[in-house]
Amino acid sequence: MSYAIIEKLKEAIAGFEDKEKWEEVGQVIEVGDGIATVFGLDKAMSQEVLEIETKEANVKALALNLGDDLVGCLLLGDSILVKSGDTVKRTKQILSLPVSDKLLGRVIDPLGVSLDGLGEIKHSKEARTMSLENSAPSVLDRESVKIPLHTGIKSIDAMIPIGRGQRELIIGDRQIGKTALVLDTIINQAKDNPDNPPVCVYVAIGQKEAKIARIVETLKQNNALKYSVVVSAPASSPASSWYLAPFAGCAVGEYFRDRGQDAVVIYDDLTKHAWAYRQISLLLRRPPGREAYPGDIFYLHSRLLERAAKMSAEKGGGSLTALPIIEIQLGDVTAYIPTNVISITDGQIYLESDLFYQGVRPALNVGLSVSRVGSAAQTKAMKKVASKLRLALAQFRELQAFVQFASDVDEATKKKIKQGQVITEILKQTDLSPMPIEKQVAILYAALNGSFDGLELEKIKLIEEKFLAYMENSSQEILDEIKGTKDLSENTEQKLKKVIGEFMAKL
Amino acid sequence: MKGLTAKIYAKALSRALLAGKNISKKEVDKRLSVFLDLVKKQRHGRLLPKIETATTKILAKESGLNRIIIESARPLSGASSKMLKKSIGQETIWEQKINSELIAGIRLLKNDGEQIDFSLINKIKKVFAGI
Repeated sequence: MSYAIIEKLKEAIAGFEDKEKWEEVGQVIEVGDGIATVFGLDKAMSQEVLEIETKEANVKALALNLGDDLVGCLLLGDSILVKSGDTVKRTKQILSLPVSDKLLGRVIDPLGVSLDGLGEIKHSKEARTMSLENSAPSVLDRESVKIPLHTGIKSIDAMIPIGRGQRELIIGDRQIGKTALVLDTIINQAKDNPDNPPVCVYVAIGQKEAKIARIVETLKQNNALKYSVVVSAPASSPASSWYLAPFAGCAVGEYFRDRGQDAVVIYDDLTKHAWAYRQISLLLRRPPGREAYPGDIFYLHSRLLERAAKMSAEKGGGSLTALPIIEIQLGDVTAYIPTNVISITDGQIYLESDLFYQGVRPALNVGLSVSRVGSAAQTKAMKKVASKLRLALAQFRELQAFVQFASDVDEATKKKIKQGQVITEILKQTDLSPMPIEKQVAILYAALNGSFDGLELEKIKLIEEKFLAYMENSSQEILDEIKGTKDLSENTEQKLKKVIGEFMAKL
Repeated sequence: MKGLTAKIYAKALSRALLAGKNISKKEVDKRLSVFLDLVKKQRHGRLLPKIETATTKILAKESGLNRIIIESARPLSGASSKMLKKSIGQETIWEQKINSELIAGIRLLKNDGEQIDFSLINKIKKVFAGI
């Protein structure tokens, strides 16, 4: 072992070439709480990486505040090593991380260092150094969102469709299935597009390490880790790590987007990201604003989410879809950060705790959820089937509230309520079971045309399973046709109607 | 007066020290004393080390002189010191410091803002960083 070390050292010394040159330097005058104040470095740039020479090792820092004669920087390494009086050098480089295909299936920290115990990441020749801070694509480089990104969740694909290149916020209280929803989306990508699934980047900000480990395990078990990258900034990591993680995840997604591939980045969650930025800003003595957040908190999230885009054909045609998550308290969407992110994104999926505890899972509030650009990307077949779904559910909710006080209800109202109850049952879905779009179309077609209205509500889920199994066994060609054409032609619709009739007759 | 930074003080001091031609040492001391009184009055004594660095920088720039600190692990011999000064140039204010942590070699610090490191510790660090 020691022989190998000596040989390695000999090799390094033999190949060592060093050309010393003048470097700009400053001096640490204050350090604490992951922040250092440096005197000097007049020419330092904002977001530049600085190197602090300590007795033990060099520690990297990020220049954030450029004062008249002081630079406020965020320590990226072990802050215990840094002492007042240490020399700080400029590197003239913006913070970046190497990205290549080799990141797929790996868990990394925001600086690109592996955290999964599988050893160092050996990048391929195509690796690029991606800046964490990158400008968003210009208007001319973009194209409108028109290709769907199927989540495998019936209620979302039918009513709040997401397009590739869109920014769709997932918002809700704690513990009501926000992460489960995005995990389903990741898992569904291989089912929806087995040959070339979009690259999924999951950014965990300030989460428990046990939860991150569980997520990685879930992805592995569902064969989804091979096309995913996990950027982890766990609860135990410093605020600098929480702050940088979404930008690192976005940079990884951009690498694939710029190569003409599709990528999805999930920021779980931006509430904690805002907390980290607030902490850093207060330590840097920036003036606090509303809820003590700094004045540029909106810009922090808008510049991050603007990097999601569907690129034009000239720019490779790739896409980067952003699915930020925001955790709210007691259903209050009017707090500062939620309203900011709602206004930045192209729609939101609002999960409601009342629905969750009533057993409606995913606990999607149809009234408050919206997709502003996704309908243009919705699969034609789904558009035809689900066009009246939102209206039917809205009518059902209204009638349901009304009949609570009415003693006598007419037949037409009773029928509508029953249909609403059936649809609600059909839209329920357990986690980790995303459904292919063709099956969603078939089951929603049956439900919306009243085929299941005569059945008992408790049996609906069982009937759904039986119906889909029946379709797979006897009429796979119909499912294949919907999947292949992405449309529901008149001919296919007739065939589907016939199969539903046959199934109901056998029931 | 809350926004007074070391740089502003340094600019004011250097301007005061450079005002007029052929001023006597007594006059320089007087101006310095007035300046120190002002800093004391403003309760900005903690800024003095930074003011000193910034003033030296400005004065060196104004007078076209460089201020160079030579750090070495051991005291430099007269010959090597002479050779070093010759190779860098005459228009320089020199200061020598001993820093045993360098192990061997020298480190030059110019105007407190630029550094060139020929020390052995720097080379060792670079070799280990490359492994």
